[in-house]
Amino acid sequence: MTIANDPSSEIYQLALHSAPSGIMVVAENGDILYANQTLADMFGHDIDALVGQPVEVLLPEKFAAAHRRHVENYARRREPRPMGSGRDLEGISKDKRRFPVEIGLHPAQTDMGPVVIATVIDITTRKAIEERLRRHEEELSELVAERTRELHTVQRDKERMLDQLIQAEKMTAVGTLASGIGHEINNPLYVILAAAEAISDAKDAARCHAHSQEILKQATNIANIVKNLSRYTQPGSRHDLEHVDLNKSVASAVHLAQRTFQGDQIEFKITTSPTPEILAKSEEIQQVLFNIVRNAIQAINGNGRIGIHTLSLEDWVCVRIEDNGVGIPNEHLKQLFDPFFTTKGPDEGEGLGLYIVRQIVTRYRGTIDVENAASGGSRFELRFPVADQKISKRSTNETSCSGSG
Amino acid sequence: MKHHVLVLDDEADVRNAIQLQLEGTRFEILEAENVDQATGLLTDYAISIDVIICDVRMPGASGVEAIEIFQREFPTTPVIVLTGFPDVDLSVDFMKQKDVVDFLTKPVEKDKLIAAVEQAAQGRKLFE
Repeated sequence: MTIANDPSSEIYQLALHSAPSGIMVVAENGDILYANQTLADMFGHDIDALVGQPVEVLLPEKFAAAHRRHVENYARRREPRPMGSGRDLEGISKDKRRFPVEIGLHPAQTDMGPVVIATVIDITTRKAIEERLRRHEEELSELVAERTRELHTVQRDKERMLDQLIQAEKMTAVGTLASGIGHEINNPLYVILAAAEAISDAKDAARCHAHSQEILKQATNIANIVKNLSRYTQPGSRHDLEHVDLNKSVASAVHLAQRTFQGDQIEFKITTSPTPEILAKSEEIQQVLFNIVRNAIQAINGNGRIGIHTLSLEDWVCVRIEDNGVGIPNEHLKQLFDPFFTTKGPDEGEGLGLYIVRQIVTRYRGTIDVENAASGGSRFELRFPVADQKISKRSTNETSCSGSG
Repeated sequence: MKHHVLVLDDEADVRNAIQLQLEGTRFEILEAENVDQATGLLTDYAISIDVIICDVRMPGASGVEAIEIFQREFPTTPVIVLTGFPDVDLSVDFMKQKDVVDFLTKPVEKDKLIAAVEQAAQGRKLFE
């Protein structure tokens, strides 16, 4: 005799009753025909008390009426419904405790007519875990949002600090510039003073006229010096990008360098090609060029040649700045643009010049590279994306200026 | 006897301004735009130079180097420094050198310049 063939077998009963799911057989009219021990325990009833009861005794009252309709509908279709395919349901125990359940249905035809075998699982624990997971997920996404907000703040702070650095570095350069500018302004001022004194002493109208012409000339000189300087030092609005002609920026950076380092023996050789304009802030581009030129002047120790060459390369405008100085040791090439990297003494700058150069260049989606030229000096190459594709019509020209400026 | 003031400044406009301010005084201006020209005039025995007015920031040999040369080779000729950039450290350094008799900054008024030149020239007379 096999166990499966004898429902009255003790092992057969034991197997059914110890199944991990609650199992019951429900008649077409909704009465419970059979319940295993697991189901009875789940709902807190005795098996005997359940058998013969309508299945709705296991449901909270508010589901009971709806359930009756479900049973009738189901009786018409009678398709198996596996676990987890239905909606979330609730069961109610004898002591009125409500708990979430999942139910699988399997229709069958028996001697007692059509029945449904229902499998029931108490999913309280699973629901609790799901809820914990959901809450955890919420906390996580809140955390992510918070971190994102923090990162935005950090990014904003970084941007602001960079702006301040750029401005501070400019001011350091202005400090160096001040002595040069002082010289340059005081000279014309002196000429003006002497001419004015001469006018107040003179009786001859023709001489007065000559002196006043001198005054006009020198006053215009001073005005131009101040204008160039203020263009360089003003912080400028963050959003005011303009079309910048790199050839003009090169010219004014060289002019500024000549003023700052007058007395040095530097020969500038500037070769410009017609280059399209780039989109940037002109005083920042001038700052970039001035810093690189200043570096070159320091590399040649105030005595040597600096070549500057502008050219147009497809969608890029390119500036090459080359000196005939000592070059950069290969081990320093990689660190050159790092903040606070300096080979100079403590009084000669904080090592921020080239760092700021790279920050500005990157801000305008440009690139900067440095290498040691065949001549032995260093060569910087800057590239900026073209603002638009229109190429200016100016012809190539070459200028050379030497001496002190 | 004519009295001579040697003006060493790389800018013609500045040399002209000095010329203008010393016009009508007993001093005649000799102009030099670099150290070589200045030493050339100083070694010319046909002219006696009473006072040197010297700029500081110049291309080539700076005013500082020029003054060292003057001090070494023409120790009896007083030097007035006339600079466009007032630098306290520099002026102290200069004043320690015995032949720098005055330190003036541009722009300097006519009266002040004349007084400085007069004083330097008289000092030289005493020194000799």
